Amino acid sequence: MSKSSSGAATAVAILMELGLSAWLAITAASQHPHRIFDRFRARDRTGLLIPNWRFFAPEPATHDYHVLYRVLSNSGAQSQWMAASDISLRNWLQTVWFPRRRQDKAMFDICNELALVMGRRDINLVTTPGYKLLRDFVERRIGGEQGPLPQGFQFLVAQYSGYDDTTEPRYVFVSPFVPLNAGQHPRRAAPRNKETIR
Amino acid sequence: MSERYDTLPVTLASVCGAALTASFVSQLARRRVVVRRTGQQIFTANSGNVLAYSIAGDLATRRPVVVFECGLMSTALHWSWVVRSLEQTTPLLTYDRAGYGCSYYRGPRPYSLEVSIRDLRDLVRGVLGDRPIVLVGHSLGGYLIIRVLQLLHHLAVGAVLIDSSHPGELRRSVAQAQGAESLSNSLALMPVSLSLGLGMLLARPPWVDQLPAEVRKVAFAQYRDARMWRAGLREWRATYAEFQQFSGTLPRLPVHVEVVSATHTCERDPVQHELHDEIAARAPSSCRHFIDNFTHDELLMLPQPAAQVARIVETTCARADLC
Repeated sequence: MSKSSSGAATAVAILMELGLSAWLAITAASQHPHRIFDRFRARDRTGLLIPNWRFFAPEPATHDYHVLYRVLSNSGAQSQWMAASDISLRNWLQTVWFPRRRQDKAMFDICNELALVMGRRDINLVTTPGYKLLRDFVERRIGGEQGPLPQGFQFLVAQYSGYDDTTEPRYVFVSPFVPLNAGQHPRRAAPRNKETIR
Repeated sequence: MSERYDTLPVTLASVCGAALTASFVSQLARRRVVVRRTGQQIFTANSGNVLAYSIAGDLATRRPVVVFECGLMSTALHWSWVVRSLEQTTPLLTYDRAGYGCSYYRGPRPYSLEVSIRDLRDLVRGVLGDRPIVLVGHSLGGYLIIRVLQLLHHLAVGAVLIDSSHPGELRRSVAQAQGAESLSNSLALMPVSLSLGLGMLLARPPWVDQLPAEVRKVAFAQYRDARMWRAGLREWRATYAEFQQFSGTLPRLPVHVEVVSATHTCERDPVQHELHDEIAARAPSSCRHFIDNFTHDELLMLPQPAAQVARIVETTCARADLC
């Protein structure tokens, strides 16, 4: 091997060592339990370069979100609150096949996103993707029910610990009234009107 | 055959050593910025606490002196917009409570809010003598003003309480109780982390850039310095203990009071609205003000709501002049 190629190899090795060392040091420095110390992780747009121990920690989720809804019938009667989503009870088969888990997880993430932006003055909640997804989810559920299409509906998101019944449910969000247009609803006719929120 | 490189541990140790050194050097540099007095004077209270204070405006006028009391984890710099609006017309006194900025805590341990209340009384008497005063407090500072009014009732001619804390808030507001729990957890880690040199890892919070440009550097240095968090933790623990035990009624306020609420605070937690109304009801006369579209902290941090606050303070001073 010539002197120059050996020198280049050494330089590359040193750079690699420096890069790996810096990466390791930054990773170690980014493990503080408090997120305000995430100065480096905030710059990692991929969210993959700097691993972090806080996947479930330090505060693992101890609750599920439940979406409830009520409808206003054409005669003006208001229904009781009904569950639009439920958490699947677990069984052994789910260790190999559990596609429904995707829906539960999606529901949790959407509700969590909604809870995070609540109270932010710079965000109109009813225009967020999370709100629209939940609204459409409930609308689809109502659309699948038997009987005439109601005038509209309202939904709420509640937080509940499930197995631990010492904790009271907490109501996180109550939507405004969402009118349903029978003429344009998929259960009645196509195309579907996406602009139903007032 | 390829060559082996076994120097990675050495390189890693060198990188970590360099990072630690840089972090401690920057920590020392920040501390110098924090404790450098720029136009501030020093007063030693009877507790032994050393308080840094500033006088703005003209003390020679006959108007009452406006005395500002900060909230938790805040310093006199947080009043910058309000001071800027008032200093041409009104004499002002701002100071940092013991442990914040250039002020030092040398008082009794364990700390209680009573120490800060007596420090403020000593400062007003020591610096302003028998001058009439208008007391202005934000957040926890509002509660401290309610308490200090009992000691300075012969000097105070008015008070302005801005989104004030109420000692019953932790027992009566679920939102406040939940917030208090999470604040306790997060504050506990901060002084140790910052003493270990992790201040460099703190990102610049948006509120720093809402302050006037000339105070941003110091405000950011204060935020990344362990002293401020240590003082905040000490005060928070004392506040939490005192508020948890509160079950009675507020003391009567001896002067006219202007009670200012951020509409945002009241909308997020209607109990706060009731608590602020209760504070107003304890004064012989009071006015309620609501400032729309701004949060609790933004009332002081942004020029527009701060100008509204300044107008309310000015009105209080003018009212005292007439009396």
